[in-house]
Parts: sequence; C-alpha cells; structure tokens
Amino acid sequence: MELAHNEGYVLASYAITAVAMVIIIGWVYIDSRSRQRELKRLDEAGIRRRSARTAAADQTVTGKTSDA
Amino acid sequence: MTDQSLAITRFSDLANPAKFIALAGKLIPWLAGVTALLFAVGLWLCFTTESDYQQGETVRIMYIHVPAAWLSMMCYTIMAVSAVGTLVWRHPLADVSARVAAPLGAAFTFVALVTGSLWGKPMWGTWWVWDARLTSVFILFLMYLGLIAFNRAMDDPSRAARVSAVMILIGFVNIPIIKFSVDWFNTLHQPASVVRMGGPAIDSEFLRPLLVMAIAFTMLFFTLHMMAMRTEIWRRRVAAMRRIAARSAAAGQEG
Repeated sequence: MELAHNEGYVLASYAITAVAMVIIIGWVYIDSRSRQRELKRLDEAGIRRRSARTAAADQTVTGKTSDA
Repeated sequence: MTDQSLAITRFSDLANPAKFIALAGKLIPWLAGVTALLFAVGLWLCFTTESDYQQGETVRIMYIHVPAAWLSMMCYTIMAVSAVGTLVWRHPLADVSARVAAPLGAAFTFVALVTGSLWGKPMWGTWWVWDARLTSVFILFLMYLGLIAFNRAMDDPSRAARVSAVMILIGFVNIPIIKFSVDWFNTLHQPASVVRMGGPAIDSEFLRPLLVMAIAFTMLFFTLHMMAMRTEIWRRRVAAMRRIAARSAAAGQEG
C-alpha cells in the first residue's frame, strides 16, 4: 500500500516534467515555424532589409563584372 | 594565419547573425538527435535500476529533479555570461542569448520545484518548507519570470538589452546562495552528494542514470537555446522588414 502510494509521486513527477518539456519544446518549435513563415511572406511581398538589398546589389555588380 | 588567430576569427564570425543561423541550421538536427537518444537511454536506466533501500521507488524522482535543478542554475549562469557579453563586448548575439534563455530557465526551475515538492512529501512529510535552499530556488524562479515580463514589456529589444543585462548580473548573486545554502544554513534539504569535495557520495547504481539524464537535459537545453536564438534573430528581421514596409507605404501615400 505504502509502495503504491509512493509510486504515485514518482509517476506524477515524470508526468509533470513530460508535460512541461512538451510545452516548452512545442512553444520553441511553433515560434520558430511562425517566424520562418512570416519572413517568407514578407520576402515574397518584395520587402527586403537594407543589408539584404546591399548584398543583392553587390551580387548583381559582381555578376556584371564577370560577364564583361 | 596561425591556428590561434584562425580559431578567434571563427569564433568572432559567430557574431554575425547570418553565419550563426547557417551554423544553427546544420547543428540543430544533430543536437536534437543526440538529445532524443540520451533521453531514451536515460529513461530506460531510470526505470530499470534498483530502488533505494531507504527511499524505495521515490529515488527515481532524483533522476529528473537533480538535472532540472542543475539546469536552472546553469541557464542563469549562461544568461550572466551573455549579460557580460552585452555590457562589455556589445556582442550582437549576447542579448539574444540572454533573452531566449529566460523562458527555458523558468521551465527547468519549475520542474525542479514541482518534482522537489513531490519528492519532499513522502520523504520529509511536507510539500514545502521555507528553508534556504527551497526559498532561494523559488526566488530564482521569480527572477526568471520578472526578466521574461520585463523583456516582453519593452518594445525595442536593443533598448531592453542593457537594463536586462544589469538586472541579470545583480540577480547572479543568488546562484552561489542556492549552491551553498545547504552548507551555510540549517536546511531540510540534503547537502550536495554528486558535485562535492571527495567525489560523489551516491552509489554508482544511482549515479549512472543520474548522469545520463543530466547530459540529456543539458543537450535539450542547448538544442532549444540554439533554436530559440535563431527564432529571435528571425523575429528581429521581421520587425525590421515591417518597419521598412511601413516607411515605404507612408512615402507612397505622401507621393
């Protein structure tokens, strides 16, 4: 009886830890996917960061030089 | 280029968020795989090793309680190192690291508190006592929540970074208090039995699953931390792109 009673504490500990870990892993994963989707949407709408625009322009210039 | 300067160059390359994202993309699947494998082995050991002659089955709570408690302190220590990186070197990723570590630290501290309480009831006869170890860990949990709330309240992450870094460094005083509280004060909590002078005081039967679970929890933390850092960089990029879009729209309306 005592053993069964104590096993409840063990199972509760593992269950609560599992739930907490699933929540934190799920939250990190969902947040990551959401931001990725958001970036893709903005990129498709033609919105670029200044550094991304500069990098793209540099690539174009380099491309033209090598063509010439 | 010497080996040392090459190593420094490679390390400083990580200050570049784009290079960090590329590295994270390569490392995260491996880290996640190793973490899953360690948890599989660790959990198998947790439930196949002998029970303790005094504590009985409740000794199995130790395999999750102790790693979670270690992680709660390690996470804050990483935040403190990141805070130094923000204040001294103004490393672009230091603030990102500290900011995203806080919810992870809060989760591990929550697990340490709850499993400790569930272990305390059958062993001590009480769910909770306001002794030095338990109270200092509870304060750590509140500090994590406070830092999360502060970072959420501030719109501009770069403005929040320095204030947050100072708060983290002030709060770091709690870490040695947690670690040595069992030596300095008369507490219900037992003294250190693994990381102590003279080596571990627990039997290898219990030490083996404990160490495997500790490594598994640590790997889980690093996997989640790296994922969350990458997400935070993306979040800041999205905010920057939205500002550009809003400015373009305003300029278009004026024109």
